[in-house]
Amino acid sequence: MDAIWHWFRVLYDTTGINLPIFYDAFDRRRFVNGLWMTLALSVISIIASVAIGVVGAWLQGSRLRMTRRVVNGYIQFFRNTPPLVQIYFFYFGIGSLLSTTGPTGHPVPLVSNVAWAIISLSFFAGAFNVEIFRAGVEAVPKTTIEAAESLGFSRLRTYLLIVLPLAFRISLPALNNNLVNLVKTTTLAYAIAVPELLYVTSQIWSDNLNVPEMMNVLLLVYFVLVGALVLAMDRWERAIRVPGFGA
Amino acid sequence: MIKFSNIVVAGAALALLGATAAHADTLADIKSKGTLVVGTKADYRPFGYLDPSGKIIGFEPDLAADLAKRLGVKLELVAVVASNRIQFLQQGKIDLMIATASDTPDRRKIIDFAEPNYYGSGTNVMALKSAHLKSWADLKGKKVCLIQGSFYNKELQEKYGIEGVAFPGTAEALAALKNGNCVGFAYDDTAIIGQLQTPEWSAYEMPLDSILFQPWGIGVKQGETALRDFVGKATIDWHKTGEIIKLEKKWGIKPTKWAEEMHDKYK
Amino acid sequence: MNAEATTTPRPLVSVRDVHKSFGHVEVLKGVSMDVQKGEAICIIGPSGSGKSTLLRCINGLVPINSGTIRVRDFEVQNLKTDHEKIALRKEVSMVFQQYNLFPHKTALDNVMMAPVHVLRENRDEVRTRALALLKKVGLAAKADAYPGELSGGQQQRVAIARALAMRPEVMLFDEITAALDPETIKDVLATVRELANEGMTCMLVTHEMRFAREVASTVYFTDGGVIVESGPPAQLFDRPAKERTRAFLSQVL
Repeated sequence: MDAIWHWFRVLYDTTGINLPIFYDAFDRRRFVNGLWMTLALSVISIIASVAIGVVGAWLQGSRLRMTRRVVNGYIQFFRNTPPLVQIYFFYFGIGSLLSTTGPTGHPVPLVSNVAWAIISLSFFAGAFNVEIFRAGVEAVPKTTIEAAESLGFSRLRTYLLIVLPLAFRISLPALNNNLVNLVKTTTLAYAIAVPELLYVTSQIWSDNLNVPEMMNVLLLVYFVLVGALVLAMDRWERAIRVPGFGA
Repeated sequence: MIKFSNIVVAGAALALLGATAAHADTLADIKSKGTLVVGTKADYRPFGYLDPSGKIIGFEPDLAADLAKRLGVKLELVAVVASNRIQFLQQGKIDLMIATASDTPDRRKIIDFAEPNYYGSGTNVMALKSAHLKSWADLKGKKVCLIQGSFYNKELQEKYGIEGVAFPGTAEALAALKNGNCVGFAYDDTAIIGQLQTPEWSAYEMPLDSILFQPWGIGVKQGETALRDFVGKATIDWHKTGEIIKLEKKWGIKPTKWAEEMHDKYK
Repeated sequence: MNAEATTTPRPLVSVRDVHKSFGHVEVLKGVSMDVQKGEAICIIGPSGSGKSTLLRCINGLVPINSGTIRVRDFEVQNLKTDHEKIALRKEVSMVFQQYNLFPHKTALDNVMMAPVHVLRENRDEVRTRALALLKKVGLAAKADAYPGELSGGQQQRVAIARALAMRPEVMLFDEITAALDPETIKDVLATVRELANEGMTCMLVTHEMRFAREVASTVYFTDGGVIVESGPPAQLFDRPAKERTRAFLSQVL
């Protein structure tokens, strides 16, 4: 391993291509931690935003007008404002209201910057997921739902066992796009100092003045990361494909 | 330290060069027109800021006033900012620049700095008094707000083991400090001093010894040897008589080791 | 008292003066009928005469405007909550024109789903019963096939097995052969005939007149939201009393 790290130092000395994330232990650790943070942000936000989408699409079909209004308001709010502004709003706006006083008289925030990033990213992508799932739900034939109803399924059970699995398959291509977008949007957590990939990379290029090299590394890492997600989603889409249903 | 002595040597060499190659003599012009025009900051409390009547006051205007007094001329202060202060000097809009400007080799390629340096800034932290910080070691493993891209970020994390939380700008970092997202905000100590003088931050302090010192220089247009040497001599006087230390006290600036060392060196 | 009870037992399904409107259009204008346990009845009539709507009302899928519908002890018009309706639907199963199988589940899973999730019965027992039902409708070999892999007739037979898996008291068949190819209709009708012969209470809306004549104890002819005429098949098909019945039969027979 050390030989590989050393090779990058030689690369720098001989060609001027400076990649301290390989030969400098401090920068390497920062970079790896940043990569993990990006992965954690992505995975948790994906799961949470899909959950929001599922619940939101269910509530949108509610018989109560108030519930439908709240869901629509949520969608409008998060779809019509920039995600960066949302992150700032949560962290500086809401975050300043949500603190207790510590034993030494310090304000102690109840929600960390990482948690705020996850919350705002999940709500942001979740708003789109609600719309995506709703389109899927609406594409499920009414007669299929009626059949479930006549078999004695409750509304919730019909949604969970029949509507959702079908809507999911219909929504998957649109969901793919939104989740890819979500992974790319995690870079905005940079603004509230969440040490994810873009943040650590910019720290590294500020310290080493190797902006071009790190820009390339950053681009490549995201390309691979998003590529892996797309590949996984494609495989999944194929795995749950049902003969004679959907495209 | 090596860098600093290099600068001194380079300065001395330039001084010799300048003595033989002086043509324009701003110093003589100042005396004949009876006015010294100095560019200072007007937005950097307490080094240069506006009093309620709109007059520029502060640490640096006081130094400018002393220079005018020594020359027996009137003083005219011009407000400058970081992005235009060197241009103003080159264009002759100001005779001298006393505007919290770090004395760097890059800048020495385009303007001259008087020797020795009159003051300087270091890196310190702004934290709640109730946090009871005593030394940089207390910050090990703690969250400290930073500005993205600051030169000291890496050293603070690598050498002092802080957990940096870096924001795009000062306002965001200060907001995060206030919300308790970090125990302290590491920043230029002279800027922290100004911040602490506003009532909003009265519960905060700058508890540590500054590190990573950057000397400030009084700038003159390149080749103005006579003016530069006059300012240099005055600067030595300021250090010798303890004028700098007195001004620190007057403007509520925490006494710096550097000012004390310069006083010891020249007395 | 006793003698009377044995001669006219309480009907399993009792429909009394039911009115139903969709917006301004009244599709049921006072329909009444009784179905005894073990009886098979057929409802015939032109499209839009309210036949399908009547079945949906009995299943509680569509609320009625006035009148009463009673299935065993359930007063259908009084069932308000999901919970109450589910209790009714355990007694009344329905098979649809478009089969409406769940496309993401195999034939076996389609049959098993409701008993497992609605009746909360033991999965292994349900599986045994579901396989037996698939065998009964002649599709034991297709247990693991998805609906998309089955012909229309096969899908409809799975739908019948699915409805039977709930062990209902009454089976409602809503034009179940209308969407099928002629060659697959035979198998589906054979399945229904077998059920009727076994004593399952069946209510069929159908266009298959020959089949209605064969399995039904009573045939109802509906037109314009009312029952025009009803009676045993021999009477209704061979000696219709009303002109409208005659006109309809002359078109379809």
